[in-house]
Amino acid sequence: MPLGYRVSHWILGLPLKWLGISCRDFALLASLEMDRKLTRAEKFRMRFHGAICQFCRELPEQFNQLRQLARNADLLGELAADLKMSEEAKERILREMRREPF
Amino acid sequence: MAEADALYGFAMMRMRDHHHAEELVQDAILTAWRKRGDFKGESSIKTWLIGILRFKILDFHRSAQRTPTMRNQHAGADDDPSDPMDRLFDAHGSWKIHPSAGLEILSDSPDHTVGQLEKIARLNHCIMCLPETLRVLFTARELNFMDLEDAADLARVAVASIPVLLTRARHSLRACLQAFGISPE
Repeated sequence: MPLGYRVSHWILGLPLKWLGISCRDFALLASLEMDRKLTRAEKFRMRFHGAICQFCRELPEQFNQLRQLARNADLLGELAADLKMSEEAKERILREMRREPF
Repeated sequence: MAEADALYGFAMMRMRDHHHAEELVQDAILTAWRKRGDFKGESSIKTWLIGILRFKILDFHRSAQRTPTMRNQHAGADDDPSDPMDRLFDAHGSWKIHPSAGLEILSDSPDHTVGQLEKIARLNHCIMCLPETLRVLFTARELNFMDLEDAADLARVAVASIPVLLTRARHSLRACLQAFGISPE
């Protein structure tokens, strides 16, 4: 971690925690806001922390990118692509298919 | 039959039980086989099969008997009690590791084909590393767009705990991707 961060957070860390505006609080809210409406107090805390701490600013965008990556991968059907179905199950499917009338 | 594994993987991300996953894959393949005349080639066969499977999975969840199972109020506790946040932050809630380190993977431009597949492979690994409850929930809400009630039933958690659990899932995924980015092997 950059020295600037370490120094400022060594000084400010505990007060930030007491006030509920630590980096961890921000990181929590950045994710929660993707699933529910934040209260006014929560929104304010997020904005406040974002204003004083440059390191955390990218977090909401990271979560959005993560979501997009997952959805794109899902559309391509590429997730969990290395799982293998059992041979018996595959045999069963082939048997059923052969029973189908043409 | 090469597609069967891909379909199976798709189903396993969304089901708790591999038997159900196998059944649904079988169902989807047979349906596609019967309706092969309907396939006009607008997409790849795999995409078409996945579309059918997706529908079957949603159907399965909707019609599944809603037995009043014991919803685990402290969900995820049985899977993995540790909170990923504890590993990322110190006692004052400050980052232990630079929040942007190793996460270029997320912001890289998406047009490079090789890069894209590698990104997906890593994300894949990270999703499979999630504890089962979180994986099922993440898949249900983020990828399947299931509503809160259905997702809660599927993952066997309380509806109110979903935002917190998804947060845990997201932070785990993020940390996992970050670890890859910092020391790829």
